[in-house]
Amino acid sequence: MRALCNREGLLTAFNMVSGVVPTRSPKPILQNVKLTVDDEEGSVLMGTDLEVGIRHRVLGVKVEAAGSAILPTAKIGPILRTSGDQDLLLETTEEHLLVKGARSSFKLPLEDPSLYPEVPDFAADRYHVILSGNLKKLIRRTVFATDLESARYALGGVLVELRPDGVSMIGTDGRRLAKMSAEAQSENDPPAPSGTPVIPVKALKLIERNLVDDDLLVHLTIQSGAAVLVRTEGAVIYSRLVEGRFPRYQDVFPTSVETRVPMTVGPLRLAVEQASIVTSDESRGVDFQFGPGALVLSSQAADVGSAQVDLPLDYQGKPVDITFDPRYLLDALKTLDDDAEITAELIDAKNAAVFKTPDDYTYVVMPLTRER
Amino acid sequence: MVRPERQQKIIHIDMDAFYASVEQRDRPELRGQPVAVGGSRERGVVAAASYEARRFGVRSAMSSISAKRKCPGLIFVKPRFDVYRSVSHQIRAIFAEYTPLVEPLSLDEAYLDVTENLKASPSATAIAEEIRARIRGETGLTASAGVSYNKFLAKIASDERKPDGLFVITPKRGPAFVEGLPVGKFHGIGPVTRAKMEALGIHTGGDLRARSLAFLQEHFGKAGPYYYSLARGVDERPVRPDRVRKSIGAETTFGADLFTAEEARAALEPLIAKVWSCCEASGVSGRTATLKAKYSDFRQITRSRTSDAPITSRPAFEGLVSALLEPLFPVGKGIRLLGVTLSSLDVDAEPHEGRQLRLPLEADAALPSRGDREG
Repeated sequence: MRALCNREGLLTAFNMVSGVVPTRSPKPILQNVKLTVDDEEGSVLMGTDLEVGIRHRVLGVKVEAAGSAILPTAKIGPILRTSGDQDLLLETTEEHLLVKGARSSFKLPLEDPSLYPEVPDFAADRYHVILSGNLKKLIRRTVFATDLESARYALGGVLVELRPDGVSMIGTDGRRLAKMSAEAQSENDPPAPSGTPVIPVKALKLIERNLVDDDLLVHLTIQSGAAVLVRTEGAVIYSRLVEGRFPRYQDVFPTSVETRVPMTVGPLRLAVEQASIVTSDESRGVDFQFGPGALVLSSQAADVGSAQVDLPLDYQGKPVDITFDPRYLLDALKTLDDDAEITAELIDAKNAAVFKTPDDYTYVVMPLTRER
Repeated sequence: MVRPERQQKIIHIDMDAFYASVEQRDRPELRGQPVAVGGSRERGVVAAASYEARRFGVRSAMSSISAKRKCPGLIFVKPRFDVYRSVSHQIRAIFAEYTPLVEPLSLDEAYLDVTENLKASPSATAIAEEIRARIRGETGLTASAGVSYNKFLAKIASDERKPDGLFVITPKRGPAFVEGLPVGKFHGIGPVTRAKMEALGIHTGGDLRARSLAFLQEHFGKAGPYYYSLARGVDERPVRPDRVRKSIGAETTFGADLFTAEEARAALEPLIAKVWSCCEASGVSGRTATLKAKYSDFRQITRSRTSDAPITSRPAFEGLVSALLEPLFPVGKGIRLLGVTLSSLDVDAEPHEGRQLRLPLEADAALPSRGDREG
């Protein structure tokens, strides 16, 4: 292999790919990334930890001899970052990998590229097409609600539901649940995935990082209940699905809602942030008193103090008092636009509260009981 | 504070068949009957057995099924930990009148350092008798007491005249007493270590004393120096009244190594039961479950998992432990020891505030959930 690589182009790909490379692994070859240069197919940088894998295109490569090379992550990263060169020549000889700039050159040990595990490519011709901005929202608004520590492994990821004209993602840790739905198109009538496909958090974060623009089309396919593949403008991301069955979550939505309170995200978020200043690890709760014309938030904690925050409301119904862990509300409010409308659907202090936005986001939170 | 120049006076108080005796006290129809406190169901474990039941060979931590086999007339009684806790408070209040240096080991057992005491009594034996009489008068229950010059001997002494007895091991008699003591009675020597010692020709404290420190270290590693001291009747551990429990754990070394997940699950059951009843008894809950396994080559591993909310039901605890156990199989080497620990203890969980409610997701044994406490 011999290629003159634009340093910026290679570094962009490297920064995206090196994130999945394990720093320690029983299979030392996984501590590398693999570069394949080819004028016809385009040049690709690959990395995997066998759970999650990514193939990222590399722009600005002048191929002199097509081929592949294994690049040691721990050495290539610093070389790319410290070099002042516009282009670097990467070349494999009988024994070494050579990296040459104008005034620097590196000779690194050579590994056999055929030993690097296959990073699956996007081969499906039946898949869903989602707007990148929508996929970004789907991920951001659900991934925080997952629970990586749970003994129920399926809660360590986000459930994906695919319909011919839409996609939903659902994340929960057993105390709150986030569900986001968005429009999607389907290409060649993809089959409905079997079981409950759950994408691990690590893969979701990698996908989100690869969604740079909001108005590009992204392709998504679930492979026979075992893996998910996402194709963005510059990359293909592969991930094994989380094992275990996602619980039947439909039961958590209350059926008889009595109170609907319309609010705006920004002021609500600020009020919750203010009230949560005066909480402590022992006393986390903030009391929410929804009443005609105003929401009163109050909190108190021993040795910390107390706080009261009033938020004017366009609400004239009956009063409802309920206590929340403010962190749960902030987790969701932070993912929403400040000027968006949000409606709280309430029953009483013991039942789940549901927050909804007009763009098909639903967030269910269980309260704290008041046993003071 | 260790004052080696001064002779310590230590009392070990141990309630007799505590849970079972409380039940027999409160339900006269159980008196004179073989009673087991614990679940009678298939997976139940005996938490405590009355003396009548012990005569049939029923012991605590035995599975309810084998207990029933040994004693067909065994009466199972559901534990009432809140009652045991309140009796325990009564007893501790009595202790507190004699000395602030009380180290409770469990609800029914404690060490008291009475070297200096609030009654200015020179006789530890007199104090022990007085405490036993007061326990009987105020709770209607009997206790046994051991009096000696360190914790090790005081604990052995309390076992000497059980039930309802008192035994003193004076500094003069200490070494001779240890000499004749079978090694199996030593604190910290379980069945496996005992078998190993017996294979080495060590049957009594005297045999143990005859071995050099180097010999004991070679054969028993880190525990060597401890055994060396015990064999000489020496135990310098102070009575620590401020002891705060950081974890509750139990472990067993097996006579024969285990190779299958089923064997391991069965072996864990009494350990889980023991840890769980200890939690229930003391009213604490924990968030972290830890599984420890030692292989036949003495390599040891621990696996733990922490849940966000306190683990409040035994099935949830079992679920966590079995989730930790499964990935260990298949094993290359046999397992010689298994242990279970619950930590991140929360004595008074979220004291100032209500608790976080959970979504009504379908029940799952592996998912700790509050509010599904076992009856």
